[in-house]
Amino acid sequence: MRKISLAVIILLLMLVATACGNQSEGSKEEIEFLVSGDNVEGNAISTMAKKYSDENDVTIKVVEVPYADMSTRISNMVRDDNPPELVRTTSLSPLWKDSLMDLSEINKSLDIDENLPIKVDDETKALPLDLTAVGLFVNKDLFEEAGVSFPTNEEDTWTWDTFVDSVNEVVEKTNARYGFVMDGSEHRLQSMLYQFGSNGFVPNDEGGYTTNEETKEGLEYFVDINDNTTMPKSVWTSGEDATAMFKSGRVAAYMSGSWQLKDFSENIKDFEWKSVYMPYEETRATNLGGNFTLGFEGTGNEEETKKFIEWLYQKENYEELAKLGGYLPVVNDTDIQYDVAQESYELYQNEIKASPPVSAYMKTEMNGKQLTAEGNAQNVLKEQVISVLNGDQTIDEALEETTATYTEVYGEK
Amino acid sequence: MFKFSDRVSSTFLTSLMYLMVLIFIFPIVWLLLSSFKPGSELFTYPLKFLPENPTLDNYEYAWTTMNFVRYFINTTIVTVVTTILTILASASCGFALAKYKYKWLSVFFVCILATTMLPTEVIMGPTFTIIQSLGLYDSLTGLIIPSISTATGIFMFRQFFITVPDDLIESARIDGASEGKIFFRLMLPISKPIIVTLAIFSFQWRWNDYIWPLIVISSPEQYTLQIALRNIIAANSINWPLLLSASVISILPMVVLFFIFQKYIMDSQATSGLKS
Repeated sequence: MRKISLAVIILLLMLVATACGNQSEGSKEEIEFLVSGDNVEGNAISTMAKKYSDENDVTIKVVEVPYADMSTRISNMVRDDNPPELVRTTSLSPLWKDSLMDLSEINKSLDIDENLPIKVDDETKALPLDLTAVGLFVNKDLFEEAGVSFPTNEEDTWTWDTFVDSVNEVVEKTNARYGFVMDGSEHRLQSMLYQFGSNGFVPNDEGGYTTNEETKEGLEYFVDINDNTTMPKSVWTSGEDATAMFKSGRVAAYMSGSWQLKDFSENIKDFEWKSVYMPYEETRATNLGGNFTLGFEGTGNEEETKKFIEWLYQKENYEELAKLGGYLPVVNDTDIQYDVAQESYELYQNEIKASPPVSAYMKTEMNGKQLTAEGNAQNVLKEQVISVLNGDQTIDEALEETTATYTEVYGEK
Repeated sequence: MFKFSDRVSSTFLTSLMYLMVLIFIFPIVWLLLSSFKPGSELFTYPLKFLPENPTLDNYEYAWTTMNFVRYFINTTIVTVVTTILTILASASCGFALAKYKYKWLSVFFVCILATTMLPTEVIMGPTFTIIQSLGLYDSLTGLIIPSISTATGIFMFRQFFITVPDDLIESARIDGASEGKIFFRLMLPISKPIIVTLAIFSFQWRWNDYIWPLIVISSPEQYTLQIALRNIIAANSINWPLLLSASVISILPMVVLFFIFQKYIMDSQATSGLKS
């Protein structure tokens, strides 16, 4: 009997040992590429990585990491002195700064939109990989039912007043519940503020941060239309899903962005939707977002990694990538034929062209700050605006608090 | 005082129970039915309970997009190995604490009990450091080892073995049985109810474990089901059709197990709080 129990224990230990055998160390020719969300974005990166691996002596191993864990994962790997070769990410951390490859040479050889790469001390630390932009969707059926028109070309875009009147009219004449929803996101709100002429949050002479009067005007307008008639308060104050509201077909217009195009094309069948030009007050403006490509030093595969980056950004390869993933291009003068919503993609590209420099500035500048500053001021504006919507403070107080946080986090002390 | 007749009160209680069942089962039925809806039907107004054009596309999509077989194998290895080791460790520890009399043993037992006061989240940091320095980061062993010892299990076994008369062990010793033999041939078989209870608990805990694997596992080859599901939630949008069908697939094994071991599970939940 004792033998049997001993055998059982040994068997168990063996099971554990085999089950958990260490994974093989990456061989010289394997490049690890951490990405998130690729499997829901048409496997664009995996497809391109496979193509490169087939044609070359290198294997690009695409590792899917949950979006919310990406930053922690990379930091852990860097601390462990075992950084990945390549990552695609939206967020950056000061922990990585010293391990990042200098991509300046590659950047020079490529034809990438010059406003977008992140530079620290004259070194290019991150290249944009894919671009997203804020944009407006309308429920075409509701607009037609109400007999209200919306702009169909760049020449006659609408002002915010016209826009709000139009959606209110749609609500009156149809069974629409609300005129307009905006994702509960600072990124979308900033886009609206730029349209009012806001210059974002910028450094002042005293080493702190400040903003202009137009930011306040934009915020006042936003708070005004958050009145449960034009806009539902629940989206911003209690996190109701704006996408779901628009998909239910009971909202006239929805401010979100280019990442919705694929989903809407596949999953909205009950009504016809359309991307239209966003309203403006002072200037037309969108807000940019998207992922960066970062390479790490100390992997032993730096040269091969650089070669792959260069290959990926070649015009024809990049066009294929953008088409598969439904990305807006960061490479200049591309001609991409998307599988769905071609017209909408073109509209987004026009919006980007018409945007003031602040749209790109705030994106690159703030992302760059993530590499150098210990903390970050992301979502401060959002939290402050929510508290205005709840009646807890005034817009002036919110702006004061926001600029103070920017100063504290990014300012020169 | 007004008193219900037996008939009235039993009708009342039964219908109350049915109501509770409905409340509990509704979200699951909703999940199940939604997973058969095409993406365009998920957010329609007014919401419909039944899918209008039921489809299996979501499942096909989920199965082809995600490496479920791999995740199932990983989760099963972790769950089964941990459960077996937990039972062995808890039973032998509980036996020793109940039947051996040494000066410091009860102090030791109090120390073990005290660990139940620390939530897992509190000791996660130190545990992670240990796992990392042992080189077990990103391996299934790293998931299994910290989960083996549980104070709850030790306590359950100790309380059970205390009720076993010492005479039984004494007579076994007189018959020449070694301590190991007494434990494996005598004590383990009679503690079957506790084993089953703990096995069911441990199985549920490990199958649904989320936070720990999230911290320890980094490469997709080692993903457990719960971690794999997390990948579906992207930056700006959630792929609902995929998430719904993948979630249903991930709970299927638990449902199957439940039906097989229904009798024991109901039993264990009912008596888990009681001392026999």
